[in-house]
Order: sequence, then C-alpha cells, then structure tokens
Amino acid sequence: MAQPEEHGGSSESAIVLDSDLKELERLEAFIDAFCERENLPEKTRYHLHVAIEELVVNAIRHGACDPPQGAIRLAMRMEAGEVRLTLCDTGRPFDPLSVPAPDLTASVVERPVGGLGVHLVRCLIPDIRYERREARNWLYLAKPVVADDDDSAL
Amino acid sequence: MSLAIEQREREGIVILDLKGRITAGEEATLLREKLRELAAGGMQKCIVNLQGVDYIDSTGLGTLVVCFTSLRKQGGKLKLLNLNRRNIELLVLTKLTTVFEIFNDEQDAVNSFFPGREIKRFDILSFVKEQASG
Repeated sequence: MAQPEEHGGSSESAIVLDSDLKELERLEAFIDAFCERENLPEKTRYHLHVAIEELVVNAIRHGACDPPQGAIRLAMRMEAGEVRLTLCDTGRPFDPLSVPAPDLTASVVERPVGGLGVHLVRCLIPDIRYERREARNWLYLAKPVVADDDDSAL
Repeated sequence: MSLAIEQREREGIVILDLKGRITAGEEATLLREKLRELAAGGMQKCIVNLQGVDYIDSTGLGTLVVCFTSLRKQGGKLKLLNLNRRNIELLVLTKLTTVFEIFNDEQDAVNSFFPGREIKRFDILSFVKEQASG
C-alpha cells in the first residue's frame, strides 16, 4: 500500500494513493491532518474534503488507471492565504473544466445523475487549472481560506 | 467510513435512521440496496432521517435522487429529515432543495403524508437568511 509522503521543512504535504475506493479513508485522514496542522476553519476543511474527494473518486471510477498502484498523487500547501493543491493521476485524459454544467433546472426525471461532483468542485474551488502532461492529468487548484462566519461563500 | 441504517415505522411510514456517511462505494450501495429491497416489498412512504449523517458526496446525492425517482415511479414518496447545515448547502448548490421535501421535525415529516394535517416544511429562504445574519 502506498504511504504518505511528508516533505519536512516546507509546508507541503503529499500522499500517493492507489486507484481504489478503499483509499478514500486514507485520503480523508490525510486532508484532516493537513487542515489540523494549518489550523484551517471548519468551513474551509469541509469544502476541501468535498472537492478533493469528488476529484479523486472521479479519477478512480473513470480514469482506468493501469496499474492502479500509486496512480494518484495529491500535494497540499499553504501559500498567500490559499490552500494550493496539485492533483495528478495516470488515468485517461480528463479535464473537469470541459464538463458542461448540469441542467439543475430540469425535472428530477430528466436530470442527469452524474456531473454533480464536478459541479460541486467548481462551486467550491474558484481557481482550477488543468493540463495533460507526461501521460498524466494534472490539476492545480487554489482555495482561499474561508472564515466560518463568511457567508459570501457557502 | 461506514453507514449504519436502522429501520422503524411510525403510522405506517417507514423511517430509516442513517448514521455515518453517504459516499461513493459501499455506503451509497448499502442505502440503494436497502431502499430497493423496501420498495420491492411494497413500501410506498419513506422518511430518510439524516440526523446522524455528517457527510454526503455527489454519489450519495445521486443515490438519494435515484431512490426518490424509483419510489415515485411506483406511486411512493421519499422525504428527507434532519439535514445538517453542510448537507443542506450541498442540496442548495445542486438545486436538489427543489426536488426533495425536507423537514426539520419528524412529526411534520410524518404529517406530510396525511392530507389535512398541519405541517411546517423546511424553509430554504429562512435558512439562507439565517446564514446571512450569522
């Protein structure tokens, strides 16, 4: 099983995951540990959990990473009051920014069940950049720290 | 990471008390299978009590929608009870508050199945105002 990579001396933490939904438990613990170390507000922690877990689940479910071992790497660090994330996976090319927004006004019968995850990520993370490089998907995300009493963001 | 489901009945309505997370993997599958099994047994009225659910992801939301539509196709209804603030926010972001009937009080949720009984529904506008006023 892949092990977390702690980068001493800097504020960056990283974890390598297998492409397996069972890895979500370790991912959750990793995000918790980072947020605890950086003393992030509860609302920011929640947004990070939702966004990161949605992206990782997408990579696991649809990426067809081969081999699955060590296929996903997440790095997190603090910079300029933001949480900066780099998420890399060896799956098939997938740019979440290319996914059209779901029609949330359609009747429940007509609504697509999929697509909500990417929609949530885009709602919660204002700055997302994608590139395909070295046969990997690279996502660069920046999440401003949201105070718990800041109601401008959910 | 797990989901526990306890089933009880009140005035002929099945109430599922959920505890844990409704997320991609075993948790969402467990809920879908439970509701499928109940619907196959003829259940038509169901309240899903989310008081003990601290986290729902998009797969969990999708599972609730699939269960809602499946039950509705056979003439049944599925309503939600006791969502926490975070879970309500996810429903707002995905506009699922326009799909589900949501209640904060179990008696109100039960009463909603009986025409003529007084009920108080979850008021999303009040919720947003409460958030804005801190």
